[in-house]
Amino acid sequence: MIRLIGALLTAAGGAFWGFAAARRLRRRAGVLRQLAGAMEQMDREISFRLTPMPELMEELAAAYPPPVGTLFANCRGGLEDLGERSLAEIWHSALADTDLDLEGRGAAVLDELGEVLGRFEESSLRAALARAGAQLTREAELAREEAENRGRMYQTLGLASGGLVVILLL
Amino acid sequence: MREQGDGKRYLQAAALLPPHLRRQAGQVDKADQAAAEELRLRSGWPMTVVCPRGEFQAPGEEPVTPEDLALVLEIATRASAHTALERLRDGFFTVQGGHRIGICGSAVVKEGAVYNLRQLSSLAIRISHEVPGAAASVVDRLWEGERFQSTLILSPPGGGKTTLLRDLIRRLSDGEGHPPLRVGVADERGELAALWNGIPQLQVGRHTDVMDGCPKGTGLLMLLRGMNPQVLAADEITAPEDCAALLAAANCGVSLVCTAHAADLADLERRPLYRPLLENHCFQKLVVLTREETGRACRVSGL
Repeated sequence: MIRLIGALLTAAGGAFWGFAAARRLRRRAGVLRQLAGAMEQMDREISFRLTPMPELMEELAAAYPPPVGTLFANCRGGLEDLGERSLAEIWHSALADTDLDLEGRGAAVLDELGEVLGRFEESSLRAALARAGAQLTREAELAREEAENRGRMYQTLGLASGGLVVILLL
Repeated sequence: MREQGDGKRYLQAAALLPPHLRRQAGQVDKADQAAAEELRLRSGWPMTVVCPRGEFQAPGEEPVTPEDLALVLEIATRASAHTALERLRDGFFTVQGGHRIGICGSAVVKEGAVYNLRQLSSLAIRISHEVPGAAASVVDRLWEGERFQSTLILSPPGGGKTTLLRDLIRRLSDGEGHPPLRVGVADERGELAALWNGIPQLQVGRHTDVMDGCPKGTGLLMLLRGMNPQVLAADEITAPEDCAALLAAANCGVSLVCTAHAADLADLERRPLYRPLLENHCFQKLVVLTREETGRACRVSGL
């Protein structure tokens, strides 16, 4: 009986690992899509209202669910320290404090944005936001394809490895 | 009329500086803090303070860096340079508290107009001064019977025109010594009321409507059409559009109170821009401000 329970738990563990990896890829694609949407919203707000950065961060924090909303909320909170820290520093700590789980180009785009936000006049800022939005959209599409292809592979691999370990142990 | 404060406004302006420069500004003598007119930051040189007695170096030898200048811009605009750089063509922008930041650097020109600065080289933070009572000595002389007479205030740059105009607006609006009047203020560069989140940072009175951020000519006409003002106020008449809007307002029976850069009436009359206003008798009173050894003096005359 104990061996059976052990076998079941091992198989379930393998399956869980596979499903978690697949879910992580799907989440990453979703986060990138939302970030691209946030860039578009920033561009719109600046174009129509020249919205100041603190207000913009508040609006984005309210408009997006975690972790994207959390990123903007963290940045808005950090803006209270403006004068002690630059916006670039505040943005980078907000990125570090938020569990976006991004890597590669997607993470780099956000990192570079810290050097742009709040520093330029309208047209240059909007151009930078449009560029970041386009890159994030492309990354979201790649992440979606990866989630479809590799996600299924991870699920299968998880189930198979769990089963294999059970067979070996039995 | 002396433009001196208790140093609070100096500290408010110094809060726009990066931490190490803020500390230096805090070490300036208290009497100089109260009298300070400007903080000047030039890349490669230590920060200086401008007072009526002259410009002197703030304590500390550390030179200002281009990064310091960028940080001042970031702090002053609350990390929103895009909201201020729209006003770059004016050479300065106004920040919370009504302080004025003038910026210099390598200009980026597109279609004949400066639209950005690639690299900042120097900054001047002009500390806003509110002098309640600045207009006390002149206000009664600007009324004839029950009617406030349209008034033009003249002085060279830095002569205290804006300070006098602001206090005059406040007095007219609050009805100090006379019945209160509805005053419409076209505050193109935010120097008179310094609106922040819709609330004037400087006292302009309880019956005052402020239109800021748009060209004075447009603002004056919008106020005239929409807010039914009894007095229209504008600082620094410099464009033909401003004059056209003032002419339109004068013909609608609204009193005007404006300022212009000029040493005196003769200086003003030499400028073609102001001729239509003078020929059409848009103003009935002239206030000329002069800087004297004992402070600033006002001279009121009829036009």
